[in-house]
Amino acid sequence: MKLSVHGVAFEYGSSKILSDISMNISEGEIVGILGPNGSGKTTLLRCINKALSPKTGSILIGDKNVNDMSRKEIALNVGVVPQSVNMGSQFSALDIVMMGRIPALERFETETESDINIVKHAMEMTNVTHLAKRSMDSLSGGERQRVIIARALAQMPKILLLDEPTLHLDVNHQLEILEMIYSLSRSENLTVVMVTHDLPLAARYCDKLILMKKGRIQSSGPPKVSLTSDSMRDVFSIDAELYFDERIKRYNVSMISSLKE
Amino acid sequence: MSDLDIAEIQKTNKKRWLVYISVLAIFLFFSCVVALRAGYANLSFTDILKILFLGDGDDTERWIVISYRLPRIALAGIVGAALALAGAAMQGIFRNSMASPSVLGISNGAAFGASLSMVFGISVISGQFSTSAMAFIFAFISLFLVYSISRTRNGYVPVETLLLAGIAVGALFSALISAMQYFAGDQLSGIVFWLMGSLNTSSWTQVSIAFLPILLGSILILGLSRELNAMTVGEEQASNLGINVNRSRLLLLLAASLITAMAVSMTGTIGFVGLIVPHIMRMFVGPDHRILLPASILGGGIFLILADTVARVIISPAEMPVGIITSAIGAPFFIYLLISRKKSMGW
Repeated sequence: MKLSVHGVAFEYGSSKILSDISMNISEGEIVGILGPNGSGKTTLLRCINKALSPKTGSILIGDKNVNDMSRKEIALNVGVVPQSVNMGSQFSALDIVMMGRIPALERFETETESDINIVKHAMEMTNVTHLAKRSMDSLSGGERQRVIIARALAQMPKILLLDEPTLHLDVNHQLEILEMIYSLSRSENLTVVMVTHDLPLAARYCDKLILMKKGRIQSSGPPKVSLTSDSMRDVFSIDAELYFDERIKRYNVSMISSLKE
Repeated sequence: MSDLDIAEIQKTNKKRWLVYISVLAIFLFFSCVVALRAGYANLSFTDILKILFLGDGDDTERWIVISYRLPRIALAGIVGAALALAGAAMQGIFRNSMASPSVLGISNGAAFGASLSMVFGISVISGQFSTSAMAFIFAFISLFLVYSISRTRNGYVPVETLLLAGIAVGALFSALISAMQYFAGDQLSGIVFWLMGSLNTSSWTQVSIAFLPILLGSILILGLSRELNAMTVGEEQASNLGINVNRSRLLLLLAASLITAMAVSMTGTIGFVGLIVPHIMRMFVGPDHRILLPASILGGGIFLILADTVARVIISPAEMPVGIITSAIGAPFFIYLLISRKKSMGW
């Protein structure tokens, strides 16, 4: 399912968080949103998901304006993995993943066998099956993160929004999760939008990158176009270089030094 | 790593729920039996069965069982269930296990509304629901006040602010009730007894007034158990899962106020039922509202039927208001919760 954002602006009180954001994301594409803290990445993600309503501009999920969609309708198409997973809860990991089926269920309806299979599959993909009975309270940050990703996958979304999905993960799980998301996007045509700070992983897995600074898009396009040494210097104040890594057959970034402003 | 079978776990959980409900139902039945037996008039269980089903016994005995003990048990069950369910729902809405109708001052609000109607005859409607309607309006006002005062911008309700807001709102309404008592004169003793919370005026009429609104409110809350589950995890996450959080929350607050108000307008303010019962139930059945809410309904009924039985026999032949019994159990329990919370936070 495609996703388009047209001229979105958002203000929090009197401070402008987003100005004139536009982007078109095609079905099955993985798009990374990059930028320093406070550049509006998370706000943009929350606008797409209608958690926030932009002051101007419009957001289309498929061909429909989010403002014309009910919460349930959005949840049937869009899965969200939020940034903070510090929420403690007595619910078991299985209970939490099962909540991903809420949008598909009618009131008083219980989960069918197919719901359970979907949940089972989602938990296998994120490697959390063995945690099923454990309470969320007792899991580590990375384990919780993977449970939350499983819940988003259990929604069977056509668009997946992730806010710093690798933040709490071990290095091996970072690769594992992104590899899984990458293959889902290729096999199921899942559209993925993720906010991240990790330049090498973004360059490696994203089809398109959007670099933001102070609420504006600074550069966008495939990594080769958008993640140039100039744009990285401009947006992140670092000296860095994008190169094609023969060992992984993908793009990689090597960060050379930080530049004092 | 052992590979767990998801479908199997799910099936075992559902079976366990059935066991919980059955055990509680059996407990409820035995509480009713004990409550029917207990009292000044010495009647055996067989006597009672004969009176109930064969019409045996003299007029006094029949009156005691059918018109005195039975409606009282029924009302205790309904009111206990309502208060416990309201407490469980509020704990879910506020994402805070300290919430309950009495702790948050909602019961005081309802009592003020009911007193307005009883003392001054002020009500929005006339007829048998006039007192309950006023109780409902003021229960909702106080719940709404507490909620607006304590809620932070990102939807989180800190426990300190919540409890303080509850104390403030509760104190406000209890001051208003005192003022009313001051001006009420003759009707004073009636109000005082009623404010302590008592079931000793129970009648089939009260049962019939309270039953339907409480049933409706309860069905509404039970229907929102999945929403409550998701909302306790986090409001934005619930909304990501397709839940209209604002609408669900409003419906839950309305329903919780309704059943609290019906309970309070029948029996006065019986404290702590809504705090203790959901808490104990959560320990046994876990956090899932699809089982926690029905378990609280049954547990609330059991708790108040037994507490009222104690109230009837403890200083026999006289009676103690049941509110004193529940507070005597509830206040230490509340303190225990505060202490264990303190420990878990490492203070």
